Amino acid sequence: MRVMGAITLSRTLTTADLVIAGEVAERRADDLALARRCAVGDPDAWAQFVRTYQRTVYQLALGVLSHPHDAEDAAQETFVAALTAVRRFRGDSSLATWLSRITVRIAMRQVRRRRVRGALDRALHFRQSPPPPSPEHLAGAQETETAVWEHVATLPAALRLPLVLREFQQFSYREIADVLGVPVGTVQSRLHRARALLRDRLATDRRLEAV
Amino acid sequence: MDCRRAQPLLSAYLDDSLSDQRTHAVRDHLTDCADCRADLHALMRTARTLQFGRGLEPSAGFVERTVLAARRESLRRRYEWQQLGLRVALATAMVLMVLLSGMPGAGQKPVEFLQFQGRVIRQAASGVSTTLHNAATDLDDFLGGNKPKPVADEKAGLP
Repeated sequence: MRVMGAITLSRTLTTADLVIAGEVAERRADDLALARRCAVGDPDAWAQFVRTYQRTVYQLALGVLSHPHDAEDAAQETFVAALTAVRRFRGDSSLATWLSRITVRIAMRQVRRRRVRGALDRALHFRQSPPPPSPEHLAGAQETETAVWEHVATLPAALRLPLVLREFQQFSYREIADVLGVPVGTVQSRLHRARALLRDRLATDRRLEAV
Repeated sequence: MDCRRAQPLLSAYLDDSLSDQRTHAVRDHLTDCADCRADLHALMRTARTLQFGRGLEPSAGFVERTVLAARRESLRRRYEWQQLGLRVALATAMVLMVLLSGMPGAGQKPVEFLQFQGRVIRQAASGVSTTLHNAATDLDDFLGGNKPKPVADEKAGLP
């Protein structure tokens, strides 16, 4: 028996489930329509595409890179790659999931480049490797936003990504597993560890006392 | 269910991402366990605080800069494809010339043969498929001993 079938059978379908399924189908149809308009080079569609998903892509890139300038570069690279390949989008997943997979791939490539550059710098004694990146001084960000992201940046990358996708993008566990290429159980345990690590840090931060 | 098994599930319970069976088991445990209830409330506070990071956006003008960069990249790729197409067309024409120069009749009608070669090259520039089609027609005519038909420039898509 297929896994999806087993999961479906293990739960009783409720009206709420059907409403959610309907909303998902509608979103997919909207995604596909937008992708098709982008594929024919409609400039308004391109702008709408970037405007709609800029937060998702930027925050995820920031989750990987922990540095606002690098994250913005990676976000731009992601959109350029996505828009030039958007005709290949078939609607098997949501546009957000599709874009997130591209973002993670591009941001991870930047991490590898950064590692190679740092190793070369150290080997050649040209200069000190850059200090551990932090999203402080985020352009236009409020103090609470900055505080939250500074704490998120202290997490190991493996815990940071599922947390960003869940808390900031409201992805489901299955979507997160799809983006990161890990089982749903791994997403569950990583999210639990990430939240447990952040619990005390957030609670003791004075900048977040008022919220 | 005891605390050791309930604790790692609290986060997924909060997200409503457990199966019905596990959800009931965790709920039953929470009814009896004050420690796990306290942990669940702490997790809820954490999730609430994290929501303040949701509004973060890239710097102003990001949309315009990105659309422009994508447009530039799209044009660059189109130009590269056109260049590639042109190279393929020219390469095809050259191969045809080499092949045709060894054909019977090449030495018998030098002027007409040179005219034919020139036409093949010009047609190749207007696209590989058109070139091959026209060249095949011309080749038939040529090998058939007929005088090659003049090909209008408009037909070849050239000025």
